[in-house]
Amino acid sequence: MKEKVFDGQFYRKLESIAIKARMTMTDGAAGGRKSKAKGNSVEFSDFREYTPGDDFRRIDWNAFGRFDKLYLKVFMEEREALTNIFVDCSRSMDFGEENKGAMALRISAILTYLALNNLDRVCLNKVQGDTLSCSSLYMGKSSFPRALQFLESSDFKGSTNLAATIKRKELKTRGIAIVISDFFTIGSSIDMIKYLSYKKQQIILIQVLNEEEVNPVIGGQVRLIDSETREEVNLTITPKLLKAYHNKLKSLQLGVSEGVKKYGGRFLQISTSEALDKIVFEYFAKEGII
Amino acid sequence: MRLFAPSGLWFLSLIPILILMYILKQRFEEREVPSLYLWHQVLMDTEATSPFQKLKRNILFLLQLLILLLCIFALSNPFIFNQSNNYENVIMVIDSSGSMSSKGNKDTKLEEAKLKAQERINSLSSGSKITLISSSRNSTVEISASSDKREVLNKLKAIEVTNSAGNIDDTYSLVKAISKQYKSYTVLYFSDRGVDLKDLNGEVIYMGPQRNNVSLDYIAQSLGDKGLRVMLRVTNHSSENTDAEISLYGEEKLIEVKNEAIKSKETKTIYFENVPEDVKYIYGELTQKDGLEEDNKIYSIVKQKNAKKILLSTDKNVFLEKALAALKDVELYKALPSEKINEEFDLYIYDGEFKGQLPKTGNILFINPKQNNTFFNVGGELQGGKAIVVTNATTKYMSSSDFVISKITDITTPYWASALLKVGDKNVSFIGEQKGQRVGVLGFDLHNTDFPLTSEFPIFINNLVSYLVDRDASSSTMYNCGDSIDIAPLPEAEKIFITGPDEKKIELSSTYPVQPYDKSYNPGIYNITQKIGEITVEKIVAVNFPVSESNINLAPQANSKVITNISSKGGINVMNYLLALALLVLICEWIVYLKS
Repeated sequence: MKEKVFDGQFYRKLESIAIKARMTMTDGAAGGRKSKAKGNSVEFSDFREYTPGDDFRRIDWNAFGRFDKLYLKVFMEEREALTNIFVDCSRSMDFGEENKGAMALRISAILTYLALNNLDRVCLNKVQGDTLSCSSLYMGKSSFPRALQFLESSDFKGSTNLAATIKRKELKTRGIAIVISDFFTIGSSIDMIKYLSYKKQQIILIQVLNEEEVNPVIGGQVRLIDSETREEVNLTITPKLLKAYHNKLKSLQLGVSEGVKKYGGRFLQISTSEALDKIVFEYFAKEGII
Repeated sequence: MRLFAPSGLWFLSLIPILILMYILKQRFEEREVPSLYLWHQVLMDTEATSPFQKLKRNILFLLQLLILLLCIFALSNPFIFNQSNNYENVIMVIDSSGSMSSKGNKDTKLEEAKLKAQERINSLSSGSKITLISSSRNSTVEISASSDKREVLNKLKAIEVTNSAGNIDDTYSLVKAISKQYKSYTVLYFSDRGVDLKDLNGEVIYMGPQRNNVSLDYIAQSLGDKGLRVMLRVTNHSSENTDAEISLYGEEKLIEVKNEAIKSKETKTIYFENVPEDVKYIYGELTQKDGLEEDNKIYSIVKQKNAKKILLSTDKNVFLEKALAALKDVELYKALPSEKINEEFDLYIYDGEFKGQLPKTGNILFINPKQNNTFFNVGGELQGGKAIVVTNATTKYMSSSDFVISKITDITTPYWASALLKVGDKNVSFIGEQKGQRVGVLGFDLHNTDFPLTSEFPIFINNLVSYLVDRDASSSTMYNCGDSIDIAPLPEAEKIFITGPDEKKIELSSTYPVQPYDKSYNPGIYNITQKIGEITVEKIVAVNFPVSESNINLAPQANSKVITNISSKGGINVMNYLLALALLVLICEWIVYLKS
């Protein structure tokens, strides 16, 4: 990484995002990561009628006295959600003036910060080639600098097979899986979605694309070189070919989006030219991530 | 198919240059992209939908290559032969006789034949050896075994109609001789009449179509009581009957018009009476136009009454009288030496003594003069001997003379005279011109020699008198087109001109011997002018269209292979087609370029 990913500007932005994001949370629009399971906690959730086998210690005697019926007090079981963030660290991500990789790292950092703020545990995973380098579990805001350090040490090289690599990750508990990539990968994204879904993960796919990839400004005779594989292709760019490219991109996005929706996940596409706060407050909020 | 300029194929070396240029031009703008993942998929899609994608990408290059190849191929001048005409040696015989002046489809048949021949020449392969023969009265090889088409075409263009009689079959031996040098050849006859090819390998291109023709074949006149009686012979060569209007002109003045109904193939003789005789020439004319215009006029020269008057002053000289009487075109007058002469004559012949003054005009021939005069001095009588003939125009045909003179008169030869006869070293006869008078001298008595007994004597007298009286330059006055007009020059003629019906004055060489004039291609009156100092001597002759050529409807002979359609060409020159195709491809390329 040539430029510094987490510069002063990022911190200022992060701060404002964190304050605002918290604000939105206190508004009750989203809330913390409450598990669906009801368990032993201090937070009251509901009443329900007693059925044989229930722990009778939990019977609300006051209610019995009033209604002459046995009611059980149900409490919300608060669990710490495990957020797994997978960052594509292939060579193709380190591309463009507005670097895709930097954007991916910044988004990871924001999401980590928000998750830690939410008392979630966060695990960062860098996907590079066939290897998956995982960070330790971060818990609490105090661990954020370590997370940043881990992210900053990222090196973009090699190619990626997202699906195959992510499958190696042992996901023992329910949680949130966030994959940040350009999704120009060899393996099928659907395989990856299926796997994550099987592992009871709430899936969030974030596609980071360069403006050049969204709207390539090329024409005539060009030799395109793949930044990952150094493979070369000689092309005569015609308007027809460009149109075909756009169509292909759209169908790819649509394919991933449809695939992930089927498993209750979310997909959003981000361009590197967009501002961070816009991404967070517009796209994340729209998709219900925050 | 054959390439006539295979050296043009050297330009094929341009193709690698084109390819190289293309490769150089195809320097791709290198562009790094994050991933080719999408591009690969796009390419897979597009290639799947259009298998000619690769071709399409290079279509401009391929089109340019095609244009270049077409141009190079065109440069190498390819030629596709027709199978039947795969020959290289061509002998072309163009009939330029009189009948070819008749009207063809648009122009004269000769012009149309030349056009067809030109087409043939153009369609021949450029290595073909072409021999061009024009056949009229004589067969002329215009150009022999030339592969220079341009030169052949020039020679072809230069062939003129001769209007002369000619039989194209006479070219057989010439064509046969030429064809012997070739292994394979083709003879092409362009004629309006059937040609007997005999054993020649060739074809006859028949110049049609058949047209009606009425011709004036013959004219003659005789002197009657009240003028000339003119006879005209008219022939209708057509297959239909016709009414002919025949006019007779005296010089350019219309004398009489007659209408005659002439049946098909009929020859009629028409007489015109009382034609004024004071004209130089007369001519008959058919007013109606027909297939052949040249034979619609026929000319005749009216004998001119210009007989020279000769006075013979002698006592008695039978040798001289006999020799002079043999000259038909002179009027001979006789007088005794004692008689006084009042009339003027063209020539005075004084035999022996004479009385009175010598004439101031007119020419003089002295025979054995006895006294001195203004021209020369006379001495005594000398012993003679064997005569020697001095070469001179006047002593023509006398080289074998052998005679003796017993007695001669001693006459001093003046400076202006040239000797004709000698005895020893003494001039016994001389001629010359002094003060506008021509003078001839025989310094001996004709009775003192055996000269009159030799066959050369009348020739000598004839020559001498001719010199002294300027007799007609040529004898005949009637010729056919293409005939050589004999020019008999006067011995002193400085310049000889001939003026034809086209009013062109042509100077003939006056050096002896004068070549006959053989360009009498147009019928009409020819004027021969001879200049002797200030004096001009004129003579006119009539040149008429040959009767044998008037029949323009001679059907082709059965045994000759006749081709009337020229479309069977020797081959096709593909060059222009290739260039047109290249242009078409160029347009295609432009369209493709605009579209892409």
